[in-house]
Amino acid sequence: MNFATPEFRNASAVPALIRVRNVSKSFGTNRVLDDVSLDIRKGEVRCIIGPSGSGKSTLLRCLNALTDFDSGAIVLDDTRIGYTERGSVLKPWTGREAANFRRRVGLVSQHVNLFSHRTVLENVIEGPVQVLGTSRAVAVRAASDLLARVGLADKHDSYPSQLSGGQQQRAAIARALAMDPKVMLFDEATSALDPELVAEVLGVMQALASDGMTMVVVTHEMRFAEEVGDTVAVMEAGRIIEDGTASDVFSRPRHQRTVDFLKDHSGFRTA
Amino acid sequence: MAEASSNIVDFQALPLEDRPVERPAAGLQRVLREGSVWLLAGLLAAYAVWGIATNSAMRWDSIARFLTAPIILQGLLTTIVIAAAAAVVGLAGGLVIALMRMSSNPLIRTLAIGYLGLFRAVPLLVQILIWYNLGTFLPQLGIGIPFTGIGLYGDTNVILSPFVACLVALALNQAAYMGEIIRGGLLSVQQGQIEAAIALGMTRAKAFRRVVAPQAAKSIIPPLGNDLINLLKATSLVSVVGVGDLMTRAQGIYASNYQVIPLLIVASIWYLLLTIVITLAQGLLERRFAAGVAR
Ligand SMILES: Nc1ncnc2c1ncn2[C@@H]1O[C@H](COP(=O)(O)OP(=O)(O)OP(=O)(O)O)[C@@H](O)[C@H]1O
Ligand SMILES: [Mg+2]
Repeated sequence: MNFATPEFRNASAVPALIRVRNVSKSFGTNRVLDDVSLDIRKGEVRCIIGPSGSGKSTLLRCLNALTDFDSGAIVLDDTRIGYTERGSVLKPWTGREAANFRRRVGLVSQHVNLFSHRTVLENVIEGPVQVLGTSRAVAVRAASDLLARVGLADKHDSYPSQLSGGQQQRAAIARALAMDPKVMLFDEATSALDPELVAEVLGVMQALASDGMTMVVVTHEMRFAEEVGDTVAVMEAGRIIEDGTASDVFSRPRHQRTVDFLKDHSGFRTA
Repeated sequence: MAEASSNIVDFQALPLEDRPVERPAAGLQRVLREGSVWLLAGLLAAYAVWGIATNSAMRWDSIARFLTAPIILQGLLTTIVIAAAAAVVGLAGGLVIALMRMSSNPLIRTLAIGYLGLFRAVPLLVQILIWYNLGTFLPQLGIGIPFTGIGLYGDTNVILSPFVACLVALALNQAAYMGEIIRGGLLSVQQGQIEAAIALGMTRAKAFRRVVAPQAAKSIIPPLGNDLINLLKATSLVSVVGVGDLMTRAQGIYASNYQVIPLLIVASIWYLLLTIVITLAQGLLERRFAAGVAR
């Protein structure tokens, strides 16, 4: 892998696109998110790392309103997740309002699969045509561009079962991008892949980052976090224990737990 | 290595990559592909057909005559109408039952479980007789406001003619079985597929139409075909209440001319043809929904 060092971006100059404030969530007695606060600025690549079970996926699912949370608030741009402004009060979302919100957030995850009964091209145009109401011809043209961008120009008519894992994840990225999202969320998009396939997916993500896409990336790829990430948050047991620029977190970790975690993941890729 | 003098190759001396291999289809598999086995099977079949065909009790002439007799064709039409109507109502009802059974609301779920328990427990023949005889127990049927007597009521025996009683019995029974078949199909759709649709911004209803339903259809179709064939044959039970279906007509004819076996063969031929139609339709549907299946 050969990542360019991201240019330094003056973090505080850009207002936060996503504001996570004191979010807590429990499954039964298991407190999965514990008073999490986080800012994500426009154009930022925000990596979230941490041990298994620390709540990274749950936090990401909250950002996309796939899961609700018990207390706290998340604001994306001008939308308070879960509520609509009506006068001075906030009313809980209807199902349609929740769906409308999710159009603006792209999600690529190991568990959010391509539609197995549709070809790659059909997968990519499904959102624009069915959700945004784009005409099929326009959607197909945009999808062709996107598929070329992720290196799948020759796979339009393949079914997901005929693709390699890396090709599937790149198609999933194209499908999410076709909705023209404000933010892209990645949840361990490469962790199910063979080492030689990881690079091609990370390459697409890196290109997206240099195009200025706002990205929240949950990853076990420490090298990606260090080289492509602008800021890195370290989670443990539902809390954010460390949060700073990628270079600070990796070269001058303040928390002993971070030091331990980074030592466990010292090889750039873990099994 | 002295192999040049002998033309008998010592295979054991060869390295494994150079040894000859036997074709994989071995044993019984290969024997069943031999031409001689086909010939033998063909002879046996021909002998059996010959034995039946030349049996003087067979009355091939009556079979040919009754196969297209107007009264048999009328019965055939009735059978098709009952089966088709019960299939359509049963499919719609089954979808409702399946969704109720998977509801997160315990009351709705319990209602569905109760329905399934009741209609799968009582034999279909008994259900047909109950609907047919409902008038003796509830002389009036209708809808109205409880305890007031205000509403629309009618004579049970008028509303539930024998034909309608049979339709109701078959459709309600069908809905129970279809419900479980549809639920099985819905459960076979992976959670990740549904989440992908929701994450793209689809509403639950749209995700159901665009992703869940087509994927569930793939696993619903084979048991659906089974079930429709069962339903088709179960329509013969309505002969107990004298609805003029294929079976009733066949029975009516052999009651007077005593050609029992020929008329049962006439009925069987029609059931066989209808079953072939359902099987062909099933094959077409299976191919239609097979997209993306890894082979
Ligand atoms: N649907 C659920 N029901 C109950 N508990 C859950 C559920 N989803 C997650 N959890 C629990 O929440 C905790 C955090 O899970 P989460 O998936 O967010 O961790 P993670 O940091 O993404 O871990 P990993 O790196 O292994 O993916 C875990 O203890 C998990 O068992
Ligand atoms: Mg996770």
